Amino acid sequence: MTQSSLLNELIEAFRCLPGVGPKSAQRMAFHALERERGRAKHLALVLQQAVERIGHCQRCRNFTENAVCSLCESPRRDGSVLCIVESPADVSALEDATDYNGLYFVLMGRLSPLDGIGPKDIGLDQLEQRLSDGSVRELILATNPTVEGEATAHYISELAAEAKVAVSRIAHGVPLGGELEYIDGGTLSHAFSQRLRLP
Amino acid sequence: MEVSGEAFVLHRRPYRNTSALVELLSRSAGKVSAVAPGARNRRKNFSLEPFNLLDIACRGRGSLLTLSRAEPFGQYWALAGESLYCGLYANELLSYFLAEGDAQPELFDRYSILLSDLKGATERGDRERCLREFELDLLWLLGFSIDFSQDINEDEIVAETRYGLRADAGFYPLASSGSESVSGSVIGKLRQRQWDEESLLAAKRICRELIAFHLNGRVLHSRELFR
Repeated sequence: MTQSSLLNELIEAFRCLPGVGPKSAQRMAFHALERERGRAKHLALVLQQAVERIGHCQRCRNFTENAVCSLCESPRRDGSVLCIVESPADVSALEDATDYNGLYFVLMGRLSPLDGIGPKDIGLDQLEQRLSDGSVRELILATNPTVEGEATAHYISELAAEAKVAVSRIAHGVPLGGELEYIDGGTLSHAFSQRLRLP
Repeated sequence: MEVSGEAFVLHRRPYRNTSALVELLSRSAGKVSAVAPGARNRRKNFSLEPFNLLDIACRGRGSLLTLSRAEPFGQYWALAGESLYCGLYANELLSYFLAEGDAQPELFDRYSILLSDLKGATERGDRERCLREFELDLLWLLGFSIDFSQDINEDEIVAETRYGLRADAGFYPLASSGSESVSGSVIGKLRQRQWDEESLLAAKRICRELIAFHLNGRVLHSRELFR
């Protein structure tokens, strides 16, 4: 490689992004330098500001540059319903796909004893406090249907029971447009055992 | 190295963009670590969850293998609630105590029994009993157990005597009964796996002490889950 060290550094820096290998990193670096210097400068600026200023919302733990995020502050959201999700991406997914009008609580992870992640690491002490102040009437558990997601959901359902807050778990089942023949047995057995009675 | 046959996933963590790093408990080779390429792809995802009996094949050089096949044997995990915590606790114990590549077929079978017992356990007492028996068997199979029939002076355990515990050696007779002591009759019950409230409580304390001693200061995080 006969490239300058700064260029190499830039290529290496791009590789910290997910899905970016050495080839794509090199393409990005060349593209930024050859064609998009202005926008690259803007990217650098925004990236720096974002990294410095974006923290976690005091109420829902989602990313925001303010103390409380816009979703938590919105007067149009129903503050008595709280949906628990594992990551900020889950909030976006639910916002896009559903007409849910309550608030969120973002764990930024899940209980994972083997990774050393306990209740405090995912803000459950904060959640417990929030449940105890009486403003939340219903809790929707939207953690992932993995072993760790289930353990997290169960733990939170115990907190909710102590605080006498109604709690529900999102349903797991056959995806829309899916064919039973091709669905993994676990999902199918779950969908079967949790089947709905038709009205 | 090549490993195939029955295995359970003890833990799975994300690796690179689409792969996962799985820690497996295999029947033929004990604990092994393997990369599961593309495991975070939605369709392949489910079978690599813990508590499923899998038919696996993996190979590779060094200690990190590549998983080429992982098909469930049919039964799906149905651990829920506190049984799920118990399962996670067992996985954490196995993950800490087993050395990579050290085959423990008996322990593998013991773990399968634990999982099916936990599936059927509805009461807290049942789960406690399942865990205590598993802990005692685990300690025994790994050579960490102590003698429940003799004290450290090789005298037989006497029902009326109170005993103290040294995690590296065994029970020793005490002159007076302190709060940390255990009676010979309870030790006898533990030897015969006779479970009642008293023996379950004693087993919990004794296992805890033995496990803590052999963990060398490491903390079991799954205990935080039990409230």
